[in-house]
Amino acid sequence: MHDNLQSFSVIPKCLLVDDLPENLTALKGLLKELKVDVHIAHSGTEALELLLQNEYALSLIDVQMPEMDGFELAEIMRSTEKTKYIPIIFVTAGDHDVKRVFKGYGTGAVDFLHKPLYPQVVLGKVRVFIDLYNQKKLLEETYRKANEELEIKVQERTHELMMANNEIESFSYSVSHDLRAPLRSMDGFSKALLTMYEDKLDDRGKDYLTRIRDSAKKMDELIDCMLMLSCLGRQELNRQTVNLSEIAMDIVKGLRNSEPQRNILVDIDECLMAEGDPALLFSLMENLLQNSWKYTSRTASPHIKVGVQVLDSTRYFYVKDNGAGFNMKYADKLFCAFQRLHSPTEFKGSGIGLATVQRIVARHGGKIWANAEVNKGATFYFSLT
Amino acid sequence: MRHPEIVLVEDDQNDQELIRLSLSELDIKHKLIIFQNGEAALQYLTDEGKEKRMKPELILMDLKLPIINGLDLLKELRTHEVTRHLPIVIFSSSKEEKDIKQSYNLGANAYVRKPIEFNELNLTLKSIGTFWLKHNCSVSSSES
Repeated sequence: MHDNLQSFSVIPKCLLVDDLPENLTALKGLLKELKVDVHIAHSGTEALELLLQNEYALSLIDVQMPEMDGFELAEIMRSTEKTKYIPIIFVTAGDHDVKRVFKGYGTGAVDFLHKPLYPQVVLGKVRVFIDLYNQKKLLEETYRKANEELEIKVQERTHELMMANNEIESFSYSVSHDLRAPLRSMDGFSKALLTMYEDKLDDRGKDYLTRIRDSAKKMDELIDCMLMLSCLGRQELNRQTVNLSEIAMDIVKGLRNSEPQRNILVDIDECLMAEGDPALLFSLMENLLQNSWKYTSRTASPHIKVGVQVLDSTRYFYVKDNGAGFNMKYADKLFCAFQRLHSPTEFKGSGIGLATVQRIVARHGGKIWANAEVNKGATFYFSLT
Repeated sequence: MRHPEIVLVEDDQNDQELIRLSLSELDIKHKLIIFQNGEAALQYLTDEGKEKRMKPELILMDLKLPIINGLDLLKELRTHEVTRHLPIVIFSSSKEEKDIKQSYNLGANAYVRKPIEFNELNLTLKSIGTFWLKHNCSVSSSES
């Protein structure tokens, strides 16, 4: 701490005011022991001039001076903004001086030294004020430095963030433009081989070319998924009041149309009102309901429920089903992109549904988690604030 | 009579070949003139000395091109007297809304996504041809 102090601080200044030069010389000599820069004034007027030009850690003022006495000087000091808080030690010849009422006593630190002056007492009192001053300066400096560093850090981070954003933007631009072209070649030239050289290829050769084409198609879908996910993070939010019940009913209607043979009991609570981006919330509900729809496909009497529950004064919407569920041991992998807890032959899927849901919830500043048991079903809870 | 032209601005040689292949499968007999970059295409299309030359019936162009990119080329073509009214179809892999919007804002006649699958590519080029080419099927006999 002391090293630190030395590295930046200037030597504190101390002002001595007395009309008698021999007193000033004696006091100045006493203070030599301390690390202070001593300034002297022979009158109140001279003192005021110095006070305007310098910043003092402490002033020692003789009470009895001609023209302006010590108390008058102190009163002027206390009524001036620049000198208001400078600690004052009055040097007095006797008790009668002290009895005088000094206005502005409460504003700054005041102390008394009685003549005859004892070197140890003088040094002790002065040292206390100088130490206080040094500590105050150190704190101010530390505070200023910390603020400066913080400001620099904020600027750095902002810059880094902007760079990262630009990077992602140019990355996804390049993905949408460049990453697909090779796939077109894989599919196109495989197709050309299949048709133009059909008679030269046996079944195995044709099968391999078909596999190449299927893979190209699969990769194209993966690129779409990746771009969709990265776009979710950048898109601007358009917050409004949204009726999740209506959205859920629309989605279920669509699901029922796509698979009319399935008989699922869907129970949606009415008027589930939320604040959020309508398009994103639609996508969120769509993904959760599609999952429930999909994972109840092997359940005897499938049931999906959409509702809301309040926990610690936060509203959590939920989508619950009695489908395949999952082992809670793997719950932390649920929301990772391209991570699946079921094999593609068992249940189809791209592996980005829940990653999408998680990102949408995060964009709204909410939380999402799941509760599940294998073959008993899963419940997804989410908040939007 | 000379063959009417289709100008293709495409830097990917594989895509050039696939488009050529697809057009031939579709029996589109237009002369396919290919440019690898925007600058060469611009020079060819705006060359007023070849005024007597038949104007291309369709310009098919990618967005991401070396030297002058697709959007800049589009802008240039729309300011030149010779090319202002030529039909331009942007043929790009990108699905980004930004690309699509900008293309239309700069005066593209259509933005068509270049599909990955060859079958789809055939269908896409077929619909482009049906809509934009005047000499769709009649040309084949007039030559040679």
